[in-house]
Amino acid sequence: MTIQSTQRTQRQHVAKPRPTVQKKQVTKKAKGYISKVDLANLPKGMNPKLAEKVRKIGLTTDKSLQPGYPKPGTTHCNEAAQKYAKQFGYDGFKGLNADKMNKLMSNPKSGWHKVTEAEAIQAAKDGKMAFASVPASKGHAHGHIAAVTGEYAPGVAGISQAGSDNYEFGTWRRETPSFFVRD
Amino acid sequence: MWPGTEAYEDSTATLDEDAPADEVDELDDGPVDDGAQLCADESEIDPHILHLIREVEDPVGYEKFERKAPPTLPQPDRARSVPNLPKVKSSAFKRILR
Repeated sequence: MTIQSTQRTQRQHVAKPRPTVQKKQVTKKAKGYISKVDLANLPKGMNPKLAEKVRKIGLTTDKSLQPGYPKPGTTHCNEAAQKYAKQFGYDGFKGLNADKMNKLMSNPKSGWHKVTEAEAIQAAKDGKMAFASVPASKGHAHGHIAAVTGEYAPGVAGISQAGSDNYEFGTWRRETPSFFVRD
Repeated sequence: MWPGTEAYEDSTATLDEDAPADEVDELDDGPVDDGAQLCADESEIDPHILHLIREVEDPVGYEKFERKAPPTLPQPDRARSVPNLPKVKSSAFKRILR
């Protein structure tokens, strides 16, 4: 009895260890995003013109846009959105955080229109500026915003964002967002 | 069972190889895409943009402000200029009061 239980314990000990690096790779793959796309061989649903604009933001190269800069807990979705919008000649996001950007776009007088996810995807396919966005809420202290740059999977908006992770093409990870396009 | 074996089993129980990847990541990194952001002071934001934001933040307050009629104040100058008002001299009043 005593010998059997000891053998069982030893078997468990042998089976448990798992390399940490391997776990991290599985996690990234499960979330589904591409940190830096290959501009010569883009993901199927990503608009090529928008991909070039995304690249110019510097999501993976600009030190000031990396999560945790200049201090832990800081992210830069609003700055990335501002840089992206500026390439369309729009400067209305200047100095705003994501929560205020959401509120601005929610005002019909601002020139932004609330659309469905399908319409936002179509706008991105047409090369237009479109965003996914949520305001701050009870569950989240901060809002979030990301550019819609294509269709990641059928019916699922492909987004480009700075956040806890910066990536050039992936999917939205927060609560269900609103989608906006501009005139 | 040998002394200490039970405690050893408990300590290994927290390692779960079969935990879903997303769940593991949530524990590692905390909530996603909910970080603090650098932004400008409100005094540096375009006033028109700020106005549009305020309209959404406080629609009731702005509706009241926009619909509120200006206070109607008496306009003595206009009253004086109305023609054909009877002019009564102060001496006439005094006579009547007597």
